[in-house]
Amino acid sequence: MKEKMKAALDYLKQSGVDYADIRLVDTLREVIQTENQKVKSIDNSRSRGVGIRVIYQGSLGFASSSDSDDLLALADRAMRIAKASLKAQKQKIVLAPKEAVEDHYQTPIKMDPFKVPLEHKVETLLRCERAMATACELSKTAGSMTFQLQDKIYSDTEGSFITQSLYESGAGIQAYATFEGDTQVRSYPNSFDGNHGTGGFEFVEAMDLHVYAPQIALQAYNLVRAENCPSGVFDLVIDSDQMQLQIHESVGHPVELDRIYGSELAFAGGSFVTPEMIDGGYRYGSEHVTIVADATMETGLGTYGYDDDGVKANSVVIIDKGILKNSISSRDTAIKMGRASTATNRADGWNNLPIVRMNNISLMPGEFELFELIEGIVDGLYLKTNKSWSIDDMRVNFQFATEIAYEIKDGKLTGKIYKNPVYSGITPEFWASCDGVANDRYFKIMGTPNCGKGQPMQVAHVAHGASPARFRQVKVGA
Amino acid sequence: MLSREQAYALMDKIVATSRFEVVISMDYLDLGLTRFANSEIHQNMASLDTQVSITLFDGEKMATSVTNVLSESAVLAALNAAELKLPLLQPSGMFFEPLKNMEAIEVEDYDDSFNQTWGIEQRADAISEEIGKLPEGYIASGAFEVKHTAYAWGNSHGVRRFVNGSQAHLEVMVTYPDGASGFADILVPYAKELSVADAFQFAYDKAVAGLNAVAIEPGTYTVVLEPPAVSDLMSYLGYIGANSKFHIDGLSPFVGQLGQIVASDAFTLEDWSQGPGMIGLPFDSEGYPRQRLSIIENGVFKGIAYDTVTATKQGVKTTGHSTGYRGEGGIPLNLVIKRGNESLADLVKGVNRGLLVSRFHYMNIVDPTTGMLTALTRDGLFVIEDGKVTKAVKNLRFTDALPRILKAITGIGDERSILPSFFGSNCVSSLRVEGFTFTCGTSIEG
Repeated sequence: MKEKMKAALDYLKQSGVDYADIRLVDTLREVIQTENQKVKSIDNSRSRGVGIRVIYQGSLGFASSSDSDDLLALADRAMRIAKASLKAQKQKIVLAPKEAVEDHYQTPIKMDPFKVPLEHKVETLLRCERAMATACELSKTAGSMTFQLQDKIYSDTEGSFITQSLYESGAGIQAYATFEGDTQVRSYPNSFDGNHGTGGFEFVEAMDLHVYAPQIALQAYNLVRAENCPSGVFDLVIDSDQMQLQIHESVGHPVELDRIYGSELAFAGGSFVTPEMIDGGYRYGSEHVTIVADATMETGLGTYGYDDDGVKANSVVIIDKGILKNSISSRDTAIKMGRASTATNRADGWNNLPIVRMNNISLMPGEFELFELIEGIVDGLYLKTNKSWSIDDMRVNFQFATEIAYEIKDGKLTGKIYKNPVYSGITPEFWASCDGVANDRYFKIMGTPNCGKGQPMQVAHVAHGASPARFRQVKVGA
Repeated sequence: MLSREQAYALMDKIVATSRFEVVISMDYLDLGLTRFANSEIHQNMASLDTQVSITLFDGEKMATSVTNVLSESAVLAALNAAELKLPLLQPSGMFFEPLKNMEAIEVEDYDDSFNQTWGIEQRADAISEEIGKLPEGYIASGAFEVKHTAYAWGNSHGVRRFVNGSQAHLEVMVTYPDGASGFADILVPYAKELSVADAFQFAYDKAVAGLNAVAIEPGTYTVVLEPPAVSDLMSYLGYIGANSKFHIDGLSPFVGQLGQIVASDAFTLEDWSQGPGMIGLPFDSEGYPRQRLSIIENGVFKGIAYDTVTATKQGVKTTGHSTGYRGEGGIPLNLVIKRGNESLADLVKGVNRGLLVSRFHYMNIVDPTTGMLTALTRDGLFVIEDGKVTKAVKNLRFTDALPRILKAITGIGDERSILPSFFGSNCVSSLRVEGFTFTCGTSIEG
């Protein structure tokens, strides 16, 4: 394949392209779902294909096919598309410099998830479901596991040839309880199919699903019988499993440089962040807020060796003690800022153009113990586990619902829980209200395997790390 | 293009080889997409893919393998993988009644003229021409997608289904630096039905109307929702209100309310994938014909969408609304609102003080059991005073419950638009709704 790709790239060079790359991607997935102590489905899938990206006289063309036999025909198609793009070109696409490399990267794994016996995976989930069902009366139990191996071969006209084998594993369980016409859910280790990371089956084993199964069962049982969360303005401690989506929606997306330059305006929207704010002293949050984009974190779902520009994964401080310092970028967007790419240009599979995507974007731990964050609240709530999200097209006004709220009074958790908590805010005002982040003992990284962006819709696998954090005077209730 | 003969030949081979009851589906997609932003084409792509899904059944056991590697050896390897997996499984508790109805469903509606009318170069030419017409300061963004699709379905009992078709989806957003924006969303099954110029003009006119927007206090307003805003609401109504799985799990806001009044008596909603102008499949992923399903009739909750699994659990027949063999219930994907009798101007005239909403952004479910939804307005929000649209205002977030919204409908438009839905198309009118709750604004200043 290497020679075949080289021949196609040589052909494109002779055709006068400014730049071209070829990506061959072969993805294997296994998804196991259980429900009410039965196996609901076991799906295995394979998707293989090739995409050729061409920049011709500063305009872009991309052609892809599941048939990788005739790369020259596909190259011609990409060229034709790039020439069509020229018809409506205002600014030529230029790429930030990078180093040409030949390299291989593989996710470090201890247990190949595709070699773990299926019966063991199924039994792991069913054991959890039994533990939930016997803990208390529930209306439904469910569990899931997802495994992925993605082999990628990347080659470009600048001389890079990179192969990667990226393993992902994930799992989660849910307990549903129904009472007097209402149904509530508790999830572990997170909602929406649990937690996901790069790694082998050991990532799933480390979750200790069966240990937490009876706990979430009892929580669901009690939650459905709890009062609705009061509305008002409260001080909040937000747990890691909700912080991950808070970071995702109100930091990760707004600092995507393609979005900042308007590439996604008609679909997913733009950003309140402007190029001038980046490293222009803009205060995004309080001094407790330091946020880093790091594609090298162990087990992070957004961990890889190289992005789909062929740029080596790295770590970049996005917000430093509250001040916006950087964005996440691709080669073509970074150069507009006179910067190097942050290695965050990634495509969903073989059949999509790479666009700027998050990797592992994390709120750095602070100095507090969790009890100290709680001690500092007279009247507030401790929120856990995302249930719903929504944010406007400029990433300013957000609203989240969580599965559960724990009441805080006079610096202590009272033991009272509430259902249906909802909180909302304005992005920079919210982050400015952060006056404490728990220390690294509480730091958890959570994978988000369903980040949608682009047209056609691309789904990226990203992650966010956080310790619980405290926010002052936040609006609670719709 | 995947032909019916090619699809059936592969299915026959898999059926002949399989040791178990088998269902095969094939998905073909030939996609061309030209995106533009900042008044230039910035992304332009084409993609070609065919995927085969093989699902084996052994009583209550089920295993699925999917591959897009279509060599005979690769397809048979996928079949073999599913066969090896099946004995390892435990009964799912879900029995899948095999489809033995031999009535053919074969619909060939491929529009070859798309390639000449809206091919790679023609899309770029049209976008370039319309961008050139915009007055200085106005910026265009959007996407122009053309796709040819084919979907085939077959099983061990000789049942075969095939449908192919084409469609274009054009989204145009025109913006002005003061934040004003307008949006046009056009979905058509035939090339001749698409006017790029009309879409740009609509988006431009909306943007002009949205100039000089001022902030407005959140609160409760009578609203006139234009079709794109209504389409989003209807998609969520279908998803949580008429999905059998949500009812069985106790998560729908309409649990136990069949036959009861759930909406204004003027409101009638059905799911009809083969309605005039609709883009939707004639059969579901279990091979059953997608029935024309009455969901709400004159305000009364009439029907729930089923797949075979949830239908069996409830002791009813499937309505042909399966989206897969996962027991996820039936989901209506092609919702049609019965035409009302008021023009958009009439709907506005009926508002003393309220808001005209062009469309919503990022709608999501806050709580399914109460039908609580949230979203933000986008690309045109206007004040209505004394029956007239008087000024543009800045975006607001609404958080309100579907059951309340449906009962507060006081007017239905007499013109309907066909718009993209989750995985199909909706045919919707504008609606006037009383007491719509907006909870906050969107400016950083608060």
